[in-house]
Amino acid sequence: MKSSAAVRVALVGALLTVLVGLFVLSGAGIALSDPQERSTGETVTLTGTVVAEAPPTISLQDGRTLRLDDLSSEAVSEGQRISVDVTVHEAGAPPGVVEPEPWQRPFMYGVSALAGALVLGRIVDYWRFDVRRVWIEPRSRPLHESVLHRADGPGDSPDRSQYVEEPTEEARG
Amino acid sequence: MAELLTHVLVAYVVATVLSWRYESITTALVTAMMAGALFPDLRKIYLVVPGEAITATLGVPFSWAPLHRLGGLVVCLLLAVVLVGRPQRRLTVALLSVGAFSHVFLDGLLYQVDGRVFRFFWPLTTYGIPFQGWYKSFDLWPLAVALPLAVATAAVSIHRKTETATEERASSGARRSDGAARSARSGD
Repeated sequence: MKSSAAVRVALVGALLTVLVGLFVLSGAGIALSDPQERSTGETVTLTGTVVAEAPPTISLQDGRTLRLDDLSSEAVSEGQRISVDVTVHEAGAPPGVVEPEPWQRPFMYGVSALAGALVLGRIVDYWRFDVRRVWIEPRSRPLHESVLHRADGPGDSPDRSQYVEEPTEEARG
Repeated sequence: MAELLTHVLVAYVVATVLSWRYESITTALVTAMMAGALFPDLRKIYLVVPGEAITATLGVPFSWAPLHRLGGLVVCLLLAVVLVGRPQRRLTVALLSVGAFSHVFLDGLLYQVDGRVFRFFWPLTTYGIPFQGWYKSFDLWPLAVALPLAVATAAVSIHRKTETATEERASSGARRSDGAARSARSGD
């Protein structure tokens, strides 16, 4: 293995170690959570418009209402915009977090998987891993064209500059 | 997050339009920007391997969440700096970064119950910019906007490539007939 490739492998190892360090740091409870990820005991600030005074009720942005039993009705007036700190008593979504319709979650995961497959396919088609240099580089010709070209027999080669920039002298060295 | 397809399509549109202006942005680099848009959602590995399972197995606290934060993204982009071949490194990493940050930007527009943008700048700070949000995670309209936009961009891109190829064929044909006429004259 050339020294530059060995340095690259060492750097990848070091960066992966840093990444794992971040995973552990966040797992150890260094706060970074989103409202959707809040767990029992955590406090969430909810903002809404007062829609009723007795009992005080606020309307959240997602259209759901939240009754504030612990708040005096004299403390609020209709139309007022207030923020309240609430503690999550059950793990999962706090009040106000929008829960999807039953079909929305599978749809979301389905199209996300499609997007992942699309990008992965394009990466395989346009990029290659050079084992000797231990780096990723664009293919001189997309994989699908190479396969088709092989099937059709030899012919005019398409313009490769359409896919990659020609390497500089420095890079060739 | 908006679903991943919206992020990928937005990256495709931005990169393709840039490629019309800058010839150095090749199809492979358009793909790089689309891949960058995937980076923050690598966090979704937790659906397959939950952080709690790793904690239970290894006995150390663990969460995939940093992949969706500044700290994790910077490390991922540094990995790209190391792993991408030198000739294309700068442009590839630049486009990966634009792709990744376009994802973060779109996620920043999400409605959050506490009225603040998700805490992206972790581990530097857990400050969330006050913002009420424009859409919810499961809204379909971002995809309904991105999909036709991507189809239109692909159509224009194919049209431009076909036009360029036709022009090139015409000019090379003209060069060949010029050469043939010259050799015919010299033959006289």
